[in-house]
Amino acid sequence: MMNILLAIVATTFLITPAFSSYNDKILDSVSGGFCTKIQSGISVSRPMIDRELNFVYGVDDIEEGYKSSARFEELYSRIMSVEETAQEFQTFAQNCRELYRSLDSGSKDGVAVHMLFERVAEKYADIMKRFKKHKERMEPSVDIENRQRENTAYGDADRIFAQFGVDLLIKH
Amino acid sequence: MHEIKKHQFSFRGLSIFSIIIGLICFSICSQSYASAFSEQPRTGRASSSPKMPFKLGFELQEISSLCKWAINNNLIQKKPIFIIKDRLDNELWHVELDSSDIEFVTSPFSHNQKESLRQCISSISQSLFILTEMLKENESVTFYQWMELVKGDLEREGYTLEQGDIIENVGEGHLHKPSVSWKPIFNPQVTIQHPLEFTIPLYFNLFGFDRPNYTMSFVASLPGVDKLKAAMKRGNGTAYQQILSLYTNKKVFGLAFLHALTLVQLTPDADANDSQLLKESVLAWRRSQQVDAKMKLPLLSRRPFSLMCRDINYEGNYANFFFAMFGQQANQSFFSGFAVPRLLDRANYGEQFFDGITGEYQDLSAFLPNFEEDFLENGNRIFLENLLKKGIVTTTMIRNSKEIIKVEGQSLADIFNQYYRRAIESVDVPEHSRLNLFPFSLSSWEYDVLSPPLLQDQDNAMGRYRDAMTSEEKLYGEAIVEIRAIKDVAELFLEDFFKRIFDSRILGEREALSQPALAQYCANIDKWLEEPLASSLLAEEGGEIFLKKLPQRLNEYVAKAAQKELGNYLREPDKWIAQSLALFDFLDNFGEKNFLDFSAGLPYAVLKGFF
Repeated sequence: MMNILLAIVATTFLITPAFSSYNDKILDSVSGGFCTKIQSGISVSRPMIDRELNFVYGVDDIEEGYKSSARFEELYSRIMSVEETAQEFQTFAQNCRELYRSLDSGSKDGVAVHMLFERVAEKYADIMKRFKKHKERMEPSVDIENRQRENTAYGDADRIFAQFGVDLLIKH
Repeated sequence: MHEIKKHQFSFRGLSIFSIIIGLICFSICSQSYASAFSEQPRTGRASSSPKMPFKLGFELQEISSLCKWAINNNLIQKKPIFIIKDRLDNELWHVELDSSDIEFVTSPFSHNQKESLRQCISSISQSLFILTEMLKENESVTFYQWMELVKGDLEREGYTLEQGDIIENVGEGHLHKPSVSWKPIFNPQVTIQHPLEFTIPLYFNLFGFDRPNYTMSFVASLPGVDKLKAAMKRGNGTAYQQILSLYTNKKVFGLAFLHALTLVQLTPDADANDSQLLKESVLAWRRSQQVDAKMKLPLLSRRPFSLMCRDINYEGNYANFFFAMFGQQANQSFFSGFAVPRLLDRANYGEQFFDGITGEYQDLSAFLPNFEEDFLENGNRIFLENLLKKGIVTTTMIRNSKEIIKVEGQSLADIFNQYYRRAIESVDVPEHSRLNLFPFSLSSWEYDVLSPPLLQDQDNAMGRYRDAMTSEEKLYGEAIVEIRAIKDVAELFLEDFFKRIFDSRILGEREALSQPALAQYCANIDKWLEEPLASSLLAEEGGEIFLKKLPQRLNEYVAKAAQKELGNYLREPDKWIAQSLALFDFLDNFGEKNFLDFSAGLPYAVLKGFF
């Protein structure tokens, strides 16, 4: 999931010029809000998406890729083919596609759905990647309980906790 | 990802388990402490505990880029354009420019100033309404035109409008409507001053215990959290309760949490190479016209950590405290998971340099030959040219500058050597010299190296409040924290907020409610939910049955409303008054209930699978 999405994002980054036809700050804010909901296990409905599309002001200067329904469908298929995608993200993606298919792909709203879908996917992938890396870097074999039992002398943290009156050892 | 999903069971379900753990721990805990320290930890707060003193201020940035012409002029940024004062001549709020946006900035309000806050937010809403109406009729309006109508409207209510110092430079500047269907959209921030001992429970209560993108960083910033985890695993209720008590009572733990959270958020991904970090800066600038360190921080300390450390008179050595509490033996998530000690040297952020006379950004393209050859290759050149042309220099650039470029014997790359160690040690012993760019110079600095972070200008928001506090200011606490992620406050907080709104309109009165009143009540709920849920239920069930089921229905509405609001707090102007006052009330009543929520929620957050 992460690799696919990041590849998509990297490609977009290189080909997308700065536009005056849409507001990137609003796109970022709206997609951040949706990402927060998805992360918290809350479904983003189609009307919720529909209400947040006013960050695109015109389509004349928009990069052609964002007007292409084929590109949207390809993006959708690639993301949905990843088995690990959370249900809330899948629901968001499906709602985006339903809405997108009800619109003209070259219209302001069509372009806005396309951009929003891509940006949410990017943010979601970034966070998931961070979780994954964090988990990988944790030492899986460390058994805190055993380590503490074997540690007869206080380590630094233990000593400081002791200074604050914390008794880390169980007295029997 | 699958494993994360697997653990997304409800907080409410597990909180029962957590409460049981907490209660067991409470019951078996002995309350003896043999501390040699002057502050003794308390085991929970008595209901008679004094309330948390606080001050609360708001920054409401309209993000539609109404003033694109302002972005290239640093001389007019972040300075009051006009100021609104109350009848007693106290400033309530002012308008300023933040990049290409307008921003409403309020004064801070303390616990006994709720009415002033209400007046403040109400008058901001009025002024915004005036602007919105003007832009319905016109493609653009000038600041002078907007101010004239605001002045007329607010002065009728006893407020006064004063012009800011930069008015002559911006008064004729236009606010342009970006589209026919424009409606204002906001990016909110709030700043809270509070005592450090409240830090940990306060932010966990605001952001919750089951929010992956916040909880993971928050738990990694808890001093010695692995000791708490070990105490829980071993059933050592005494140690568990004692550590919990330190988290909610001891200032040094609150300081270390805030400090560690800053470091965690600044630490880059281990896999990100310098090319990717460079691209990250280009993208950040293109998206938000900002590249500085605060972009990465959900919580930003406006006071230097070194000043707060001095204020709390911690009797031990802070650096020793920090290194121990965030070492491999005490906090794996910080040490290995985020790998802060190893990766902080590669923190990626930037500074934009401006011409002091024209206010325009400096073209620093001439700096290009100063980079190592291999850094100029790999496709980086185009990004470097792009950034330098905009006057932007990033930490990643500095790390890759040629070793031979030195200022008073110090290479530019040396700035970031041992960043982690210096970030900790300079809290206790802040004096050091900072390397400045453009012009190159060394200057002495008497605050920790994160205040502001290395390379950032002295006026940067992070650690900006460096003046000594008056005795009156000290009453509100040592910490001044800008909550940049306030729109993401958690469901628990939001549910409390909605319950208060709904309860105040219905509970205690429901027996006497007439059918029209009930219909109005349902219509109000529908308005919040933006769907006819309550009205349709009332129609289906009739008034009497609906009223009987009201408590259950109320919970359903509350949960639904809270979910809807998640990620949107303070973004919509028509909800500002209710939401800002709810936040005020939350702080004003912060106490026993919140500490119990913290006691119940923390074990869940600590044990959750993604750690």
